[in-house]
Amino acid sequence: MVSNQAGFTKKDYSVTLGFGFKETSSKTGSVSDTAETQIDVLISTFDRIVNAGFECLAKYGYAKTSMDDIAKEAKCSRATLYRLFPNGKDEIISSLVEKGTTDLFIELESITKSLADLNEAIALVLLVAAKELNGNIALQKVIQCDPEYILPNLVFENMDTILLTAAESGSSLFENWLNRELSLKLTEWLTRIVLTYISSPKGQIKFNDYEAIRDFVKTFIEPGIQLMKLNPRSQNQ
Amino acid sequence: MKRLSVGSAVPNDTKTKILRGALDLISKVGISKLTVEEVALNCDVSRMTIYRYFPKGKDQLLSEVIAAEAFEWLEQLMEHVSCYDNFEDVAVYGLMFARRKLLEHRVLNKILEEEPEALLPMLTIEANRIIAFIHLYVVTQLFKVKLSENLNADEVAEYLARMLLSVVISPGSWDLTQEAEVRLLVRTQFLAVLNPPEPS
Repeated sequence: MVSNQAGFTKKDYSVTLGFGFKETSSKTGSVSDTAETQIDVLISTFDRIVNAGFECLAKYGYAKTSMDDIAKEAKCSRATLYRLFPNGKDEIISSLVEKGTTDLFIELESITKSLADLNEAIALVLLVAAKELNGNIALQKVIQCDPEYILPNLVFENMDTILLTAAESGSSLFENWLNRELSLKLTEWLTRIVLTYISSPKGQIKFNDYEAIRDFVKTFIEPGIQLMKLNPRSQNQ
Repeated sequence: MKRLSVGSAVPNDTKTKILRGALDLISKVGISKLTVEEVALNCDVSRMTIYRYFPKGKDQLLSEVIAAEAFEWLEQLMEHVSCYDNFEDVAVYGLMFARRKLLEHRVLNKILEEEPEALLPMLTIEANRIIAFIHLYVVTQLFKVKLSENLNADEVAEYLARMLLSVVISPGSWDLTQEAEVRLLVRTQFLAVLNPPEPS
């Protein structure tokens, strides 16, 4: 996990919490100060639950994690848990994945923003993304204990969704060098590469070694980007 | 066309009959409800016969059905691309054909829809074999082009095999029914490594 700190702003939370927040404020007669406090409490509870979800997955895997485990870990009641996540643990995991993804792209963006060389930016993005995914103890535990839960997400339409979402989330990673159309294609390409190499790592390229990744980028990706730039179709858009 | 061996040996008639019967049954009842008894009934052979060919029972039968289907998919693909003499065309028409065949596979799509959790772990094992097969095929193709000295044929082949399979299974933003688009994908993300443009 990139961090256990909240990666969300208050605005993100009120959107995510939508239903629960509205219900609370109407009960308290929407006095703004009280509502503010209520939101803060909800945010910290929401955060605690999501973090507890992470801890439980890391300890027990997916199948063996129950809502009770998460409630215990988050030190909150089952009622609170179900009020914030009426659809159960899958909903908590969705929030967890969303937070992890947001954090990862924030980290990647802070890295590429200050760089001058595109190849270096690409290599660091690959290195850090692979490192975060390999080092995510909850993800690794679930891959190990419940592959049948993870796999459906990594193939066919679900993988298409991951590719498109990642491309969109990372479209500003390379804005110093490429237009939007090329950025989207490049981020999609890199996502595909990271996921294929970390999901079956038996191969030639070592994704934990910066020099090896630099060579990989120079050999496989740089020439492709040169050609993409020359292509009239992508220049027009 | 010469048979390329993927996994198990060329099946004999009874074995083929059982595999076909099992696939037919899977298309009706799915994977979790499949039993060796019903496959035997469906193929008009005894349970003993099935265990003679598939000593480990249902799991082995399933994994061999998948292997046989993957084999047929690859065989049709090889035949489809055998008329093209340059690698770019092989990749372009191969990707389009492989994707079309995958979407047309009625049983595969039904199972993916209804019980993906029963199929995907086995499909992943199969995917590794398919990557190994494409890898080998690409290596033989690379012999035909002059590979620049700084390139390692094995590394290039592995990269291409992974990318080809990944794109066929999940094309992302690429429309694999549009030849011009597939050609752009192949030129930029697959084959630019072989003929890098002059640095601008």
